[in-house]
Amino acid sequence: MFDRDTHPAFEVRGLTVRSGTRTILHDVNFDIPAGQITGIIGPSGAGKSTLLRCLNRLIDLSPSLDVEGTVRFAGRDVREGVVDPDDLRRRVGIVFQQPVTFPGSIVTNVVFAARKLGLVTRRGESELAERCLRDAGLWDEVKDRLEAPALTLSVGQQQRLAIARTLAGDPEVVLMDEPTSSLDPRSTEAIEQTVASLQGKKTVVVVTHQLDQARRLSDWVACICPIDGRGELMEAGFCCDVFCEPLRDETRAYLGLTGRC
Amino acid sequence: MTRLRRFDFVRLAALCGSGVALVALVALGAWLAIGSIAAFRHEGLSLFTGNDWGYRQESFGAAAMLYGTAVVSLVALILAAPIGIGTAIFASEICTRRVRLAIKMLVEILAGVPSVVYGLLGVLFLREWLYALFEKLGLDALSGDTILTAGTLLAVMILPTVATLTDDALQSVPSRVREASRGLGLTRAEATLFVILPQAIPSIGGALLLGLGRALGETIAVFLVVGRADNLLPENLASWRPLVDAGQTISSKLGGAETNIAVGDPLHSSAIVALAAILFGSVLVVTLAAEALRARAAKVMGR
Amino acid sequence: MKRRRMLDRLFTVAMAAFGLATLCALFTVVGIVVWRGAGAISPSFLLDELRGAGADGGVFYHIAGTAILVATAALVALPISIAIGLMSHGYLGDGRGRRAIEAVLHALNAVPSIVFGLAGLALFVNTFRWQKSWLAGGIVLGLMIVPTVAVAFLEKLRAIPAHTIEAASGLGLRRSMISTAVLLPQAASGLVTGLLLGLARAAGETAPIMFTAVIFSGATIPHGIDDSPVLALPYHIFVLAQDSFDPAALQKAWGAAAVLVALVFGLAIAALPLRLRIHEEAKRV
Repeated sequence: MFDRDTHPAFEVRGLTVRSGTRTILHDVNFDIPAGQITGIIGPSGAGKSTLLRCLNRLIDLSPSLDVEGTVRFAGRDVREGVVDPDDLRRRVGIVFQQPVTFPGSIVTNVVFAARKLGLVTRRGESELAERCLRDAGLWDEVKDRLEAPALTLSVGQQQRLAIARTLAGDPEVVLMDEPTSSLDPRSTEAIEQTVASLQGKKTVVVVTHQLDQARRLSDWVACICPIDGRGELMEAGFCCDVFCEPLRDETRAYLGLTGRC
Repeated sequence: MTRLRRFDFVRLAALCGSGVALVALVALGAWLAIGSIAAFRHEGLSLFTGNDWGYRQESFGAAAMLYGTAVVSLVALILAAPIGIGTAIFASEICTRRVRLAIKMLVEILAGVPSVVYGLLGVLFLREWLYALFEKLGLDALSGDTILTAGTLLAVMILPTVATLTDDALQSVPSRVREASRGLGLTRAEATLFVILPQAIPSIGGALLLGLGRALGETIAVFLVVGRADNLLPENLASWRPLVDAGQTISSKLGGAETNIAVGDPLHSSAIVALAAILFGSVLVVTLAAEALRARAAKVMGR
Repeated sequence: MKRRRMLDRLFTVAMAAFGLATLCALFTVVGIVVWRGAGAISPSFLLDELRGAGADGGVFYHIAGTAILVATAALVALPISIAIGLMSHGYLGDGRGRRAIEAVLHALNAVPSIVFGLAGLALFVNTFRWQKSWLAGGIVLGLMIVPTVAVAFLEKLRAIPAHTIEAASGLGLRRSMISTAVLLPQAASGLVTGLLLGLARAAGETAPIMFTAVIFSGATIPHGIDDSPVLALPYHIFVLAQDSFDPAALQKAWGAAAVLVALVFGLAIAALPLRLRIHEEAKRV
């Protein structure tokens, strides 16, 4: 499906998520390439966020949801007994639409998980923080006030802080659920730069409803649309293919294509 | 078009009804304040600091009762807090939604056991158990009616309050905080201890204060097992020895015979009312502090 | 990683132990009451009057007395709580008025039950010169539970969506009509819940009534207001707990305790379905 050298980071097979009698996602099958930026597009309520949460088993936190099918990461079913979900979540990081900032200083936030997970020594913390803040495009704005309370930052800055915090855990994958949809243009641009810079180094999966953003960032695109109230995968492929010549009518309708590309 | 101005009876009724509650409160406060004047004039500050309560000698130093009230309530809180908070963490962070609701309803219904029933249990069971324990530990206690007994009984009584309010406090932490901390790879224990609990601390503080308020005001159960021995104020306030001795709290004094004896004696009555005023004042302060904490927590959570 | 996993498991076990401890403590309490009290309960226990200073007979008049006190408390607390609720949401705007009402309720709730009892003594016995009276007890209990009833009512009132009230206003309904035709019916479940919970509490209280309304023995059904005491389950248990060594009397005390607990639980459980429904509705909002 991909280039010969690109292997899949995730293999999703038959993924179905139900909440009681209501089906949120139905029989989703596709692969997510490693080291590439994958965009997941589709109308709101289609189940994109749910799909994302299946990739790092964050869906476990909602025991009322039934999950069927398999998600394979690094060749292994993520729901197998031997897989430690907490370890999985370190390797598959996630950034949410609304940043959640912990009380404490900016540095405390960045190294929060790294500290608890034992990934960094006390002395190495400031270096780690600087590296991650630079990667997240926030360093210049906060370098003079690293000990200031993180809650004094603007929403856009807090989101970049959240990204830095996720990067501090050195994940192999970064999942992003609508990371810029409620942010100012400056933060949006900085975050998009961060995402672009991760290309080739980490696998990135970005859920977004901003089609131009998906187009800018993604190498690979998957489109989820609701059919009879159930979210189903319409298609997955190279960005240009999906945007210019979608296979499904639903995708065509969602993209608002009128024939031009 | 003319408008008929009909008299709003509903408004009048609502005003009157609310007024009754307000008048009752104000009258109560006034009675407590005015009624204790005589005692304060007679004793001055030694009402609080003097350890010489004896109505026959017209002496009303309530220090031992203040000490007893404080220690009994503190013991209750120290015993109930870890168990109550632990129970709340179990229900809120570890159990599924349905199990949590079942536990919550169970705890709240069981919390309705009347204090006199707790008192009966204290008299006929807890007293003996603790006395046997004291014997086994080699502490020479005179009986099972001690401050520790009252504190332990009180702990069981306020346990449901602490547990259910702490559960509310934990639930008020938004789920995205849990998602964010677990999403970073933290275990459930780490997320709960290092992220969720710290955020819920003001609310939990409020819960503990409300438990304390309930402990301070409890009369019947404490009355039955505390020993009702006056003027036992230890020299070393921090020692554990007084715990295995009998004592007296403000509420146990008020629930006793002196309340009726005092009728007809203006000074004695005033002293009793002064005690009631002190008790109400303490519970009011604790309750207000609890509400202030919970209001601040709600504001922070609203971000 | 292994260490963290072990700590996580330890944490889960520890918290479960705490939860178990709480449930055990409370089940032990109820269990002992049932174990000791069940033996005393029989039809004659429930329908007979007490004899022999508690050692013989039944608690019929104690149940009757408790019922009278609780019914009076309801008649006192209900109108006041309705008035407070309608005042707060029907007539006062947001903000200061409502906060003032909440402050009064908090203050009233902070009054220890023994202080209520002393106030009742000062007012009814010392000032009005009544002897012990069921009415005095009922009034004191009623005032004591006003916060419980009113808060439950206010919570439900708060949950009425603003647009419902706006729609009613828009139809031209006067404030009094809105209060009685819209607010009261829609929040009634909260009122009933609060009342049941408040009465459950009132039934079990000893301190508010021991100076004003109850005696240990000799009363049956009150015939007047002044000098008409009643018997009551909690006070009966209280007296026997203090200095009875007669095992027969103690056995009856356990029986009385079992009946009291059953009564209190019955009222609280009756409030459950409403509370569960309110909980569900609140979640859906």
